[in-house]
Amino acid sequence: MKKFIFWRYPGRIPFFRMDDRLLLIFIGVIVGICSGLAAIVLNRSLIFLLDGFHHMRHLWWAFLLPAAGAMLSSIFLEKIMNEGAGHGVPEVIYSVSRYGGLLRLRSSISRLVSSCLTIGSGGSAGPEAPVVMSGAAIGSNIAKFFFLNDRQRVTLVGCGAAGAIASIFNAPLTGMIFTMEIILGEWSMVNIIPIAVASVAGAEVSRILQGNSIAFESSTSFNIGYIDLLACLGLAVTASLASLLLTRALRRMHKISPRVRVPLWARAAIGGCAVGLLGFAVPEVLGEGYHSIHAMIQGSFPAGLGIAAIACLAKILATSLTLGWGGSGGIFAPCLVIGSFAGLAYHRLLAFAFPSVMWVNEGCFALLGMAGMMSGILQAPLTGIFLILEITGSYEVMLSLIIVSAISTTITHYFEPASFYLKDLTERGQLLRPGTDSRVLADMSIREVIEKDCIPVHPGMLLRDFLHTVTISTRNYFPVEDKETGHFLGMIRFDHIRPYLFNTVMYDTVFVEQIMDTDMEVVHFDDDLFDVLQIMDAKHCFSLPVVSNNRFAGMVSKATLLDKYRDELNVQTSQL
Amino acid sequence: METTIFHVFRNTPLGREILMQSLYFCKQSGTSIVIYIPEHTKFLMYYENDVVQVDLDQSYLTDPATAMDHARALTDEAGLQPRFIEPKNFTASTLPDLPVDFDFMCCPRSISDLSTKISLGHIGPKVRRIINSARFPVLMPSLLFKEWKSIIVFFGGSVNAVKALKLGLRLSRISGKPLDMFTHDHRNPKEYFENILQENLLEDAVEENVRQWYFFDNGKFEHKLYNVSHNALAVLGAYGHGLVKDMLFGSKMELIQATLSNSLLIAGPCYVSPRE
Amino acid sequence: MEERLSDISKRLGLHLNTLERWIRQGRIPIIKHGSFGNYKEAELNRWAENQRNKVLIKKDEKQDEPGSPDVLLLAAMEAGGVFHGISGSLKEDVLGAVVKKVPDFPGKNTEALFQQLMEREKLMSTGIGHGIAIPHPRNPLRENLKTPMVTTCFLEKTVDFNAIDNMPVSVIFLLLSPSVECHLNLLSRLSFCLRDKEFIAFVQGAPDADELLTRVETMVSLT
Repeated sequence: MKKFIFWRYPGRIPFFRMDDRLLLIFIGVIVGICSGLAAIVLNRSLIFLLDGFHHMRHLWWAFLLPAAGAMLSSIFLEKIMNEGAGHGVPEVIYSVSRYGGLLRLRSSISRLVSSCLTIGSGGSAGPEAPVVMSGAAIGSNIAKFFFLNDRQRVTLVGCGAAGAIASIFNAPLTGMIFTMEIILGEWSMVNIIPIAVASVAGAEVSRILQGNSIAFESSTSFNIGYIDLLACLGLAVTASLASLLLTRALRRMHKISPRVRVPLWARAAIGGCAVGLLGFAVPEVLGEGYHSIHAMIQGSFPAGLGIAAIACLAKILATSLTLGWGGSGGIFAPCLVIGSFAGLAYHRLLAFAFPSVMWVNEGCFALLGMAGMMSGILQAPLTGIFLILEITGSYEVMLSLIIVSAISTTITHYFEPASFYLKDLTERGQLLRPGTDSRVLADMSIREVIEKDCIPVHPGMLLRDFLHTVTISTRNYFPVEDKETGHFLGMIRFDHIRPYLFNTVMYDTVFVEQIMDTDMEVVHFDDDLFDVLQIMDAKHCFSLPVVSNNRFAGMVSKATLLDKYRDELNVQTSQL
Repeated sequence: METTIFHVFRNTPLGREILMQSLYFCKQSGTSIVIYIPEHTKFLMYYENDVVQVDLDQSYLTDPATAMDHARALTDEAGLQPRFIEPKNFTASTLPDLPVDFDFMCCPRSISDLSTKISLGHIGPKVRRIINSARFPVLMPSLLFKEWKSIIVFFGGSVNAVKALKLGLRLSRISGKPLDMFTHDHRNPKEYFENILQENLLEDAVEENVRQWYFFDNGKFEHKLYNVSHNALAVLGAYGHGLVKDMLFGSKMELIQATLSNSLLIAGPCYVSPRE
Repeated sequence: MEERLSDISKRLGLHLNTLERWIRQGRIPIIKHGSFGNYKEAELNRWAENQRNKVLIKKDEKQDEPGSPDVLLLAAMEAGGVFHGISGSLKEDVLGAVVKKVPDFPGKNTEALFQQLMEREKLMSTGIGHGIAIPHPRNPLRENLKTPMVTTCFLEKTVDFNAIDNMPVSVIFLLLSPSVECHLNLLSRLSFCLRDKEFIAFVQGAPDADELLTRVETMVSLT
């Protein structure tokens, strides 16, 4: 029996106990392959659905398709899967930072199906966040199956996310960098290697099944002149403007939609209808929009400045309608589409204003626009740069790419300090990146820092008897407890009674009751240490009593806390 | 040692019975109660190596305006001071995380299915998951409130059974209720079990505290269960390791929960005996 | 190697909850089996070295309990010895003679000790009244002395010691201790005994060693 279950505990094999890198690499490959497959399944079924519905697009009732899709996806998520709405990436980040990457098994499938329904029917959203979520959940559950510890599980969650991104874009580097920059938030050797390997596995799966093709390859190469580099500055501004617009529109929609008092599925259907109607006017907004990106990079998108600008705005509107009203999907693909529209529009504006200048062709600007938009929305310049490089294969635009990404990130950061994925978390104060103050405090609990060597006294005690207690105690604080019930009544602080200590007249006239502090702040075992420290700062005290169920349980003091804090920080930041 | 029990309040007459059971348990074992009045139909519990999403049956959200008052009225009547917890962390906006550092949890037989399904022999999948991954034992009360007059430990000799026995001994010591033991085994003689007790240094404790040891080496297990007193709290260990046993708790445990209508206190495979 | 988690946590000087959390998070090379932890000594030591020194593993820590204060005083008096008939008419002479009586300890330097005692006397007299003085060096003898000593000396004739009550001194308790803590402890114990009028009278009668020690023992055991 023992032998039989041994393989489920690979972490206990002596060879891996010393150094689990090989184990992580090995399982990382499995995770990468699984999540890569999940990504391809989604990609294939999207293509199948979009193609299937393509010939119905001209029918008058076609606007109902996105509505039906969004409705079904909402019902699927809410009723069948019992999942919360949203694209899932914040959930992954949250679980990685707080619970060692524990994710539910159902998450590995739920977002795939629901986003497939939303996007396949024409909703404007991206399939990337859902595959990241499901890849991460696959990694987490494989780790769970093998009883790996938190650190290893987090690495595997990263492997899943990397494999998924690598597979869907056929872009292994992007997968790795996206995971490091956004999901894990730390760059450590222990993590990078398995994640890189998983990312390769994911990309390889995609190459075997879909062929090794670059997603949006341009037919011509771009020759970027000095004047184009200069124009990049303006492009960065345009891109960050577009990303600001998208962020604000999404937020507005999230605020408006709950005011409509209908069930969630009906709400999603309303959003879907609106997107469908918008699709009549500007068909490019429907679906994930990769076709139009392809056309733009090739330079074969219909001419006209107006059409590009309108398409850009319409896509922003459609995306916020889809996601803000309860459709399911990510922001990655819409970002790319909006970015390339913005780049295109900017290029056409330039060509219109300075017809005599020889600009590089518009595909290049579409591409740069994508990078600017990605970096702006995600606040992750590296991800933006590498993604565009890998999905277009245009390494000659590197310099301008970096310029646009950097500037766009900076400008957007000025108005929207938190990235799209982290916004919810930062607002709730739940963004706990490894090695930060809030992470260290969140990991520790009051139970771990409590000191129990305080000697309780009773309210009826004379000062003389109390002083005897003082001589045998090592602490400056004395909890006062009711003699019968043991309930906590207050504290005596040694420094408060110091002035009367040598007044012998008071020894037999003053009771403990008369010198105790009754309005002392107390904390509970469940309180976060972060809040505890805030109370201490606000009250200018160095120790607080912990009271549980009306009973004194111990003291929390800043001195001990610092001691444990250092230990914790050391342990968290050192590599095992 | 201060202990707490976690209770999810269901604002229905059924929930009232269950809360009364919890409160009675509290009074007997000197435990304080932590009550969660759900605002969403689902919540998450993050355990050591698993995360369990509990999808509550809709009846948990019945008439939320009165829930707090109802719960308070019951705890006041029992003379206990409850602590109501509000989830601090949310995995998603409608998906709160609840803490898991309790010493007991009160769970009806089924928490996500309709309450009509609550019956002998049926334990809902979520409750199974909770028992399987929790560090605390789960109190699974009988449908109607009934005071228990004694405690009976089902002792099958496994590691978990030893933990359950320790739990039973502790409860009996705190509550002052008599403790019985129940063992049914065809293959091994009584000496075998006495050896196990000896190995775990429980011999003296059992000698002193156990009122009666029902030991059967013949007949069918479920037939012998009639010997269990109707007003006893049954303490048992559920073991589950390996793929198949993740779903089932071992045949004895399944027989007990299908046959016995008493309140059960189940220590799962992850249950850790508290430090004394 | 398998050990109870609670024992490991004690050896590492960690809270049990912290240890369990670190194991769960994979931050410490221990594998958990129920309430037991499985680890390799060398591995854990290496881990501890990588962390700050504080969490270095402590094997079978046995704190050298500094016995209870009462035992301390008695032991110190036994170690220091009791001497009668110290002669001298000036403070310096007496102290010089007393220092010579102090039993040998490694690195004993009679002259230096005498200087230290005199330095202390310059600050303020150690005559505490009732004809008793408790001379001691200004700083504890950290390096050489391992166990504290109280050398009791009865003078042949009383000597002016500039005591607080200006009474001439006839009994001297010389206090030598390895640490401040120990010194305070001895001093407080001794002064507790010397608060008793009967004891003072007894001491001024210059009892012999056995008598004195028995008396101190009963005094101390009363508290």
